[in-house]
Amino acid sequence: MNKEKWLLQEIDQWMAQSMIDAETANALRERYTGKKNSGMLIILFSIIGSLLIGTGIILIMARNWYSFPIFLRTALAFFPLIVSQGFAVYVIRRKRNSAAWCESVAILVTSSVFTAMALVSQIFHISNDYASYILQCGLLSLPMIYLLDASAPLIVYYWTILNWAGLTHSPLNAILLLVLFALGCGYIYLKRKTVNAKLIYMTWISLSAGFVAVMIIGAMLDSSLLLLVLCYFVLLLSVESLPEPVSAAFQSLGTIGSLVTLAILTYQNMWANVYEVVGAGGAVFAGLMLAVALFFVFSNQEIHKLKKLFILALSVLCILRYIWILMELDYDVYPFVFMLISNITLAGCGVGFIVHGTRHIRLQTTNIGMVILCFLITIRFFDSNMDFLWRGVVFLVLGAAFLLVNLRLARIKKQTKDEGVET
Amino acid sequence: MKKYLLPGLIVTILLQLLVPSYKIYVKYDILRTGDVYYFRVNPVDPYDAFRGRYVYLYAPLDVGRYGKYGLITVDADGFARVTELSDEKPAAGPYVKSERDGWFAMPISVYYMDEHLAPRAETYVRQRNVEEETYVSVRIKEGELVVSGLFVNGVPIEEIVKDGFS
Repeated sequence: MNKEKWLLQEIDQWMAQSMIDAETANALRERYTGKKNSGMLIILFSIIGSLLIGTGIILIMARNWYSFPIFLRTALAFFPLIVSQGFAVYVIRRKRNSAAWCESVAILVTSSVFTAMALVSQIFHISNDYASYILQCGLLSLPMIYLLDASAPLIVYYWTILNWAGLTHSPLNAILLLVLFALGCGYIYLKRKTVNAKLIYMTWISLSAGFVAVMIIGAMLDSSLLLLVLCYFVLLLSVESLPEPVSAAFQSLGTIGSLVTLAILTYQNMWANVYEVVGAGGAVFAGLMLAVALFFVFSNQEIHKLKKLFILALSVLCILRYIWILMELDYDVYPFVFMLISNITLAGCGVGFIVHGTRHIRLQTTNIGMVILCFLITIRFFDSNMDFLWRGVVFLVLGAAFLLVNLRLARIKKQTKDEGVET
Repeated sequence: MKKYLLPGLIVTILLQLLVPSYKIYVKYDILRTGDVYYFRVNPVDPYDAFRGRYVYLYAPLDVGRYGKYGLITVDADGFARVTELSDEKPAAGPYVKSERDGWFAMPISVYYMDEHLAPRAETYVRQRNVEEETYVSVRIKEGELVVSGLFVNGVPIEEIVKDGFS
């Protein structure tokens, strides 16, 4: 018996004796058998295969077997559901450790739920119930994510709740959407300690779904979408206590999102446009996100001070805006004041990146700061009447600064490396 | 945690079976015991990725737009019409509940058909003699409505378009 086979048998025995759990067993198998990539491929292909089968079932049923009597059509509607549920029982009892089985059966059950519910509408010609149809399907499929430890139905679940929320426009549904979204995110939270490729993908998908959810909630609550998404990105930026690859998803999306939103808000017209939009519900939602973000920032001692400053500046910007509107302060200076704060914050952020990069001799960080500053100066040309000569001069100065900073950093880096070799 | 998986799955399975079964029970009960009415309609043919092809039905309304319940009157030709809207549940007489909140929307808007027959049905209805009556038969019970058939001059639309038409 070779070493690999022996180890696999040992792992099975440890799991049978409850010495290790299924996740640890999977991690050990992946680590010592070198089948990580092929495992991921098998999972991916099984999800695609099950999705195709599920879609096939939906399409066959959608053909409308009108010539069959109602009871036969009803039986047809339930047949795929009962078969897939049988598979789910089998997987829980025998194949709970196989990610490929879990993912494919979970997606099969999900498709069958969609089919069964759709057939009810088809048989009885039920109209205009698309929103409740997809929500019911999403909710009925949700437990499969947790029971079979499957991530593919989570994507379907997000799709159903976001679709439902987009189709039903009411402030009460905004709260319900938050609760439904939290039910999906609970899976990521439970799995946060088992860092693997699946968790990282699911985190990215959840954060992207969260972005769409915030936009929909903003529309439901008659609130400024730009400010709400800015608060959402600030919240993402403040989350640092998760394991590294998961936290990276929060940080990347939070950084890119907040910088892009802030860049949009550096235009005076943007502030004039969002002046009217100030639903009380939207203000409460924004306030909640900022309160959670500030709680994370102040409870985490390890957060970098420049980042802390950036989060604080963005929070102050949003809070000030809501206070200004709610207190009905002077409208004439409002767009100018907030445009100015946005510009200063973005410029400060660029300078912060440059300072941090220069201090720690990180070319990449310095260049991000330079790009932010150049971008800010470039977009300001669109709403200024500066002479072409001076525009040219500014670009020349910026280009020269870019090159000089990079040259200087490269020299310092080389010098430090040489000193390290000598010692 | 592991010991809750199977009971959890059983509860989920029961829910997944019960929700569509309950919907079927309610609708089937209306089909079996509800009163029959005929509403004139104008059909067109769209498509639903999940539920297949259907004929979109438009039942004209002679009343306003606001109200949760529509009182039904049957005219001399035997066709039903909504003649009055109300926010309160009518104490007497047949009525139908709106399928939307806020304004009155007749719950007659889709008639699912075979994918090949639905476009033919739409073409047939569009090209038909204007004197031919196009209507749906529905069953109504306590304000809930289920469409049971689409007819042209008393002949089911499936029969008319099954073998093509001239």
